[in-house]
Amino acid sequence: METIATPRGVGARVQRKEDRRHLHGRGQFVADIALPGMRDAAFLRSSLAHGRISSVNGGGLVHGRDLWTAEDLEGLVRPIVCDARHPAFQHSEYPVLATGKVRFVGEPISMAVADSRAQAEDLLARIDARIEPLPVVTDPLAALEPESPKVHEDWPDNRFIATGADLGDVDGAATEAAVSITRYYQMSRHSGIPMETRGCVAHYDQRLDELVIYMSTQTPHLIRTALAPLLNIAENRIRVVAPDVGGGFGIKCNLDPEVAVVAAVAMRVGYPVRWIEDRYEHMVGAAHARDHRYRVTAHASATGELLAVEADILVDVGAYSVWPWTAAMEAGMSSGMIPGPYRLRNYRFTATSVATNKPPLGPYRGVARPGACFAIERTIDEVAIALGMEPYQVRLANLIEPDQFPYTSVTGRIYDSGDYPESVRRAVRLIDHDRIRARQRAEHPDPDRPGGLRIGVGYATFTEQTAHSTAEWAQRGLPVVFGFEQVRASIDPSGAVTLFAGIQSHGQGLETSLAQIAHDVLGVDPDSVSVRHGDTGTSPYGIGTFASRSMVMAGGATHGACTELADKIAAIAAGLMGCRKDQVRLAGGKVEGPEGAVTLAQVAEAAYLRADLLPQGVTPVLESRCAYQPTVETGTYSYATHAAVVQVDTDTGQVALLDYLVVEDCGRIVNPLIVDGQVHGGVAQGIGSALLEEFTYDQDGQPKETTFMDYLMPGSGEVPNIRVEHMETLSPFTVLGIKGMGEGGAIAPPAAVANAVTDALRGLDVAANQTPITPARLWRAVHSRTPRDSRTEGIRESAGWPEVHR
Amino acid sequence: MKPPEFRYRRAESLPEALEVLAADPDGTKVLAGGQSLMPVLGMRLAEPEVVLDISRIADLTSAAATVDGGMCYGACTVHADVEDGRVPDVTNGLLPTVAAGIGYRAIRNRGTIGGSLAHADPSAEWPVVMAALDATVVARSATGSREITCAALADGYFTTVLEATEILTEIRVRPVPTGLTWGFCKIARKVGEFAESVAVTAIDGGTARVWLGGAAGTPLHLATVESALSEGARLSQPDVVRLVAADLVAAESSDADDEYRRHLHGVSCWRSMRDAMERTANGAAKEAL
Repeated sequence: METIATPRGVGARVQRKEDRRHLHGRGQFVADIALPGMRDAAFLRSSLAHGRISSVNGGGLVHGRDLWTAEDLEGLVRPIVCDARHPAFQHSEYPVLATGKVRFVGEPISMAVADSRAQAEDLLARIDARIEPLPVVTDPLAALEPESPKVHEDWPDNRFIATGADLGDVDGAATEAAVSITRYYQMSRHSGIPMETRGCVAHYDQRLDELVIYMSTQTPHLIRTALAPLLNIAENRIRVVAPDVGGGFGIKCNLDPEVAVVAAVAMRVGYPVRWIEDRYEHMVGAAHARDHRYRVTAHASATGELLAVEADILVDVGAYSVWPWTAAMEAGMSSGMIPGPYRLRNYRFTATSVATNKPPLGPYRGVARPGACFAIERTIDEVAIALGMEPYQVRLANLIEPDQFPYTSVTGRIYDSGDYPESVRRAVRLIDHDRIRARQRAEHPDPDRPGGLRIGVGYATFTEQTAHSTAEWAQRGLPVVFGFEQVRASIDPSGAVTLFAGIQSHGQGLETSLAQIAHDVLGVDPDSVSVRHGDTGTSPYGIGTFASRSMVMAGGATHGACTELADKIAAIAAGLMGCRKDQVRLAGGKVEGPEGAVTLAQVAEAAYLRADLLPQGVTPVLESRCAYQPTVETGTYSYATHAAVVQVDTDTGQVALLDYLVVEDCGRIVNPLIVDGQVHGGVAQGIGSALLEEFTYDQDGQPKETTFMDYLMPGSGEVPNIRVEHMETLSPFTVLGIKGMGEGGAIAPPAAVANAVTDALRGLDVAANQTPITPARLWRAVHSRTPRDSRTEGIRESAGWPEVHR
Repeated sequence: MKPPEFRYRRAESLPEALEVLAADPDGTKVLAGGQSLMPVLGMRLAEPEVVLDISRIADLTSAAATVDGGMCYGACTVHADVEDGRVPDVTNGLLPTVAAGIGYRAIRNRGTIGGSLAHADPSAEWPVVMAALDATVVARSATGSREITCAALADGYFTTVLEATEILTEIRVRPVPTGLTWGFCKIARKVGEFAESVAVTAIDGGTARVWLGGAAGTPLHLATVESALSEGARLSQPDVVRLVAADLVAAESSDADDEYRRHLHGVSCWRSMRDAMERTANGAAKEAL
């Protein structure tokens, strides 16, 4: 049997099938779902960052109908628990409605239900929640001091977890160093801001004895798995449906307390209950991301070779541990990825996750890697500056060479394939590095005097761990281990192909790209392939869409399921045509034999309705299911070099992007249009991280950014034309050589932009070590000539760095 | 973020609107383009009994020339009308330039000049630009009307001298004299945002006017800078930064104590002056041709 690649299969620029409905405004999102009798919920949220709840008075509202408090929910829903399987991890509970204490501004206290959202908000005004204020801790370094208020009183201190490791011989290598530098970095707190906020509609189907939840989620099966024990029912009594989802970016990978409350209430009342998050709620109540602080020491030879790196990583994870990621995720993953794409053998780190009175951290596109990339890539540039080298030369001096793959990193990750140095060389050429240097010489006659405009060029190279499976997640100690993905491929009696996938597609175009894989194997038009996803009622169990895993995992499962189907089709078709199985091939919706052909419909008819025509030994029905997991379980590694050209206005502190280039390698490109779109979107978000987006808090823990007036997102005016250059080194570890690529665009921009800004200010001896690089921060650094080894504003001079016992 | 219940009244004529307003001046909010009021309602920062929609009143969307060669714009003229030149301009291009930088296109399609002036956001463009142009507004109530200079309209953050019974109905812009050149500079964190600092300079022969927005509760008239400029001093950016700082201290602006904000206002003023100078030079060059 043989199949033929066509202009509609893997590698083809196939337009997304899902765009048809979205461009016509015919998508269906959670807020578009209207069920008969549906009522709307609104949450009363804490206005204090830390306090003891003394009473919640309903002001005459009927408990268990208009108003649901923690007391009303007693026995109906359990608190969320997400402890990492690690002996040092502190146990905590995340109550679905604040119980006893509130721990951040925005934490849900009560839920009101009315005929409309506006009326539910009216009811909120009648609730009198008495909260006795407690001392607040918002600075993660202050949180580690012995006299700090404790977010969770039964803990010895505010550490969720602190770990560390000493790999190779750091001290020995350091003695050989020509230069040793220590720098402080900070990536401030921000988050994914999808166009569609979170939300759900829940109702109890009495006929099926089943709770049905329509929810804007990336992980419907995981939500089912998480909710069942909370609600104390079996999973077969819950159906979770993710309809169209208007962006997730990781923020919709969590078990939200609000959804658990709505689900518990919907099981008790005779009508559907809906909660649609508004933008204020999203900013104060949804999971946040990043909030990393670093102290990095690099020891390098005179030629720029990295001999050893020491990194202290401190993450302010907020008040709670979010299911299923745990509060250890950011610091743990960052510590693993600091070595990046380099041949680093001596590495020492500490990774500390601290609780404060802020919203909890969850995954956001890039997860930990934007911070790790920022820390190591800024350090590479600082080493170059210390040695008087071009930063790209230091990269080239340290990058893993193509003949070293598969390469096991010092932290045990297995990098599969690629040509990392070539990505740097191409970026240097395509960004026109020498011309920028010439322009700088011509346009900046007095580089050491502030004032006027400066241009700079910066690079960031990274590897992106993607589609990590069993070994990686087990090592991280998550409560659940994300090993596989499933696809069921089915051909119905009419000959039409349907793929039922456990993943969920929310902008990734998986309805198209999975169909392209099916096309290559089965020879059917991708437009005719129906891809069903996001519904636990129809798809086989799956994990979901995150960690840049869906194309690798669900693509592999699609390939496996379709290959098995193709074999059966060939057997039936050979029987119908009277030839051998190995003489047929699938193409154009037909099965061609040596003499003539049969259509897929004829094969399907035989399989379902004319079993009398089936060859001996061939069972009826055309359906197969594949659970796919790559052969190496620490993931497959995409990589890229980003290059940014910036213009810094030293009079205002403003940074403008003049050019942005991505040279990336994600292995086999299934659909170039989709890959480019993913890169563009990721880079746009990365530019937000680099220059604009930030959640800050005053000393009372009050959020300062609660609307788009204060929380600035990049728009078309801030995002330049992004140039994307592809390399294509297949992964030896995955089906078709696919590597994941959904997050990569967002990983490098903070580092590339900060390096470009630092380059622009090289004559002033000022470095951009904190994101976002706001005009005020940059102007102050320029005008006070802040030394490049200074602490960032979130790492006070007086604060000691936390001790970690390895 | 849903408004509490209110009564919605759409007035078909100005007398009708003034009558509705007179009936409950304190319980009524006037809705024009809604670009500020709707979020305010959604966040429940205001909970009016009545929302009075004046956006369909024909008189308030028309523009007419005045006897002095100036323009009288209806209060509900939207920013995009100015940007696109659908209403005449007598400021030699200042108004269209300013309009094009307000918010985003969707905002400019709905947001109105009168609404912006009545909302009196000190970081918004129209209050400072209209003050610099010495424009006036007409305020009408059921019992009469009066003319107020834009320089005196705002009397604090988001507050004006308008009475609760009054509706701002028109904006009167004088023609800029031949020989006057203007300069404009808006510094914002990103395209479409409210200004961190916004400055307007008008130079007419030996006299100059310099106004600054975003530095205090109302637009500031920068007397120190203005007199230095009028005296024909050749000012460098550091000079202007220093002079603006003196004006900020005199105006008791809170930004006077913030090194960065103080500097930024100096830079925006200097850039507005440079813009004006360049326009003067360009004008002279064109004439020479």
